[in-house]
Amino acid sequence: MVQVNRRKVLLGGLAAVTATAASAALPSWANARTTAAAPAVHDPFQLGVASGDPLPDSVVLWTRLAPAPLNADGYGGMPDATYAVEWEIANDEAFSSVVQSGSVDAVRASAHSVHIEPVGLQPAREYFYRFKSSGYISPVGRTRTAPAAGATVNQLKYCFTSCQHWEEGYYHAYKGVVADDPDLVLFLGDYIYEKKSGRAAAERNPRSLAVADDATTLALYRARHGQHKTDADLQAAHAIAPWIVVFDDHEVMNNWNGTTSPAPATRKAAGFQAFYEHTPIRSTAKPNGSSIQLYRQFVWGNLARFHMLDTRQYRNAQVADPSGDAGPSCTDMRSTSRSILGSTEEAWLLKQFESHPATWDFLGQQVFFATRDGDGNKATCESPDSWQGYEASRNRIQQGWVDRKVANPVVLTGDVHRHWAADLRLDYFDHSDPLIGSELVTTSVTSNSDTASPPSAAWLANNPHVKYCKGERGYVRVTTTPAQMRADFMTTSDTSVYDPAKVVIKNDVSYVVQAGRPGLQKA
Amino acid sequence: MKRSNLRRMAGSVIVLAAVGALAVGGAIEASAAATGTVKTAGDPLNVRRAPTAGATAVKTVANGASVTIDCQITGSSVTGTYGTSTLWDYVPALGGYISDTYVYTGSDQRIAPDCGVGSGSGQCADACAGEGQYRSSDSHFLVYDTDADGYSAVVAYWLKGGAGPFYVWNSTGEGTKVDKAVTVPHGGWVFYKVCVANYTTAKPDLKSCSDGITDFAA
Repeated sequence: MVQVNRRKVLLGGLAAVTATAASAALPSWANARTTAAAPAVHDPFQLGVASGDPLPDSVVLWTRLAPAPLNADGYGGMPDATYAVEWEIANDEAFSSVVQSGSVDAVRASAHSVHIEPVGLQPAREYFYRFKSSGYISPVGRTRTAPAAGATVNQLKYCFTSCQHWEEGYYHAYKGVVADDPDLVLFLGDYIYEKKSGRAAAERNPRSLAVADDATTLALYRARHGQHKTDADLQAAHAIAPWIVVFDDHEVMNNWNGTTSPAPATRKAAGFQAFYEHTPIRSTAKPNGSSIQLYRQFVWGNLARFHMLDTRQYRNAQVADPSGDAGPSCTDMRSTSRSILGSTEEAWLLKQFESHPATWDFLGQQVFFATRDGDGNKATCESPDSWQGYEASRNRIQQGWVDRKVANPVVLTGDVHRHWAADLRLDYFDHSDPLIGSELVTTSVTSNSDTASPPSAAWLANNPHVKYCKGERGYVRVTTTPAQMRADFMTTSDTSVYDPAKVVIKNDVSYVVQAGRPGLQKA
Repeated sequence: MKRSNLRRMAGSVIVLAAVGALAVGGAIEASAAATGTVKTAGDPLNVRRAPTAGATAVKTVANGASVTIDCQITGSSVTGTYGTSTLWDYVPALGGYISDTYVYTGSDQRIAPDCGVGSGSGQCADACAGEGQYRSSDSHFLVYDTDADGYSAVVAYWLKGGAGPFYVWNSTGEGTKVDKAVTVPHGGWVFYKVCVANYTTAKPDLKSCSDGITDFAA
């Protein structure tokens, strides 16, 4: 270097960074020059590809450029420059019949993630897509558009998953998802965890985080998402079908809520931004600081409708759960002024129930919906983070679908690291109260349930609406027809063993619901 | 509606023969090496295995020598011919790092890529009791134990696919080197940290780990 004032060099460097970040305000030639000057990179498609949020004429295509995906700065090894990303969507996986193509800029402000939202696609169609940047071509993804509104649909097969702590296992569940060849995959929360595994049996964790600090900043959330996206099974599952993704708490931090405690607005903003950057989700859900429009609806012809909910962002703070026998305050948990969805989302959901475009209504959401009351005593309460902790809110939703004649509501849930199946009724303490729907809870992909023991006979007697509980890893596969919905509860062998030859995925048990006849039947 | 053979898709690491518009003539290799000239008061300059003044000097380079800098990285602060700086230059031909304060490059800017995404980088744990280096040319890890601190030196590394970390141990004591081949595909990344730990075949309790960096197999 020449003899210079180091400080001046640093300031010069800073000015250059600022100019790039503000490139939207620059004339077009300035941007073009930045692109032309972008340094060469290694193969940037290390995080795979994904698609999601299918509509009858559109589906989101996603990738992120990250040649060095584990770097702690969250930039994935991308220089501070803008890179053009070309994309193609085709009728065939050989791309001999390309139906749409284009080019977008991947910018550092979005960690070089791209979201393509093509329109004008045909309904109920399979498509293939890929990207190109810096001379490299991405893996190929397969996706699917939703059937046209009102179209007759004979069958929909989808899988749903949740809770995939990186350290606590390998993602064998996604081997099963890929083999099932679903039309759609739903993810119901805890895609990443902000913190290291706290599991007592730490020796059972087969892998470790490259950047192990608690994620509190955008850089750390990005690095955490980036490591997850290096998983080959997860990449394969994203490449095989469109996903509809919602978050739960650990995409930000444990048990956050609608207030700024425990998660302040800055932390929510960082978590939301990294979530958006790594998710095939529509630009309508692009975060605005500490606010994100996550809840949304998808319709699958005349067969199924998905109400994808956000039970985190607008909820009242959880009722305190003191240690000892007292438990949380039932009075507070049942307060009619509290909501797990917030008034706007509750009103939106109830409004949706007024129309009946499809046979099945699936509520894709995060936390346990039915009451689980171990002692069967209505005067004591438990589980303040679940819908039980917002009982009046749940009552309004359940009464809402009864009043609005929603014929076949099925709640889909994650969060609790065990498979559960339960029927729903307005009063869980009246064991003869009519059934009004069912709940399917998927276990975790990896997150442990080491300390949980199976429900006892006494527990089940107090909760006769609960039909099934299984503390193993896995996912749920749902096959829906106009006549019935079948849920296959899938389990995987030990997720601490990597060897693909030793992985066993099996259908532990199945339940069906007949259209128009509420209640789970063992298949 | 045509359903494809999903097992062909499942690996999803296929780069298809380009039938559509996204044709490529061949992957671009990253190369952004720069040159500089060593300028000291006249003495030879130490070349260190890691970008810190405490790291082992692997050789020296003469005043006035021309050097090819692959990448630059922030390390310990050094005051040299051109002021005070924490910037270090990685010179593969010398097998280590030299302080940028002794190098004339003709530019006020950083003139090579960051070694965090560079090539042939090495890094060092606190106090440099363990030093490690990934040799891109043949994908070997070199792990050095530089202090009789009672711990082994160990490199923990992650690869694409989702498993890891894997480990390369040097448990042969102060002043020794372990040289181990690791399988990384051509152009593939490896993210690694250099630490010290008590040797174990189970999961080690890693101590004093360096910040991780990414390197690429040649």
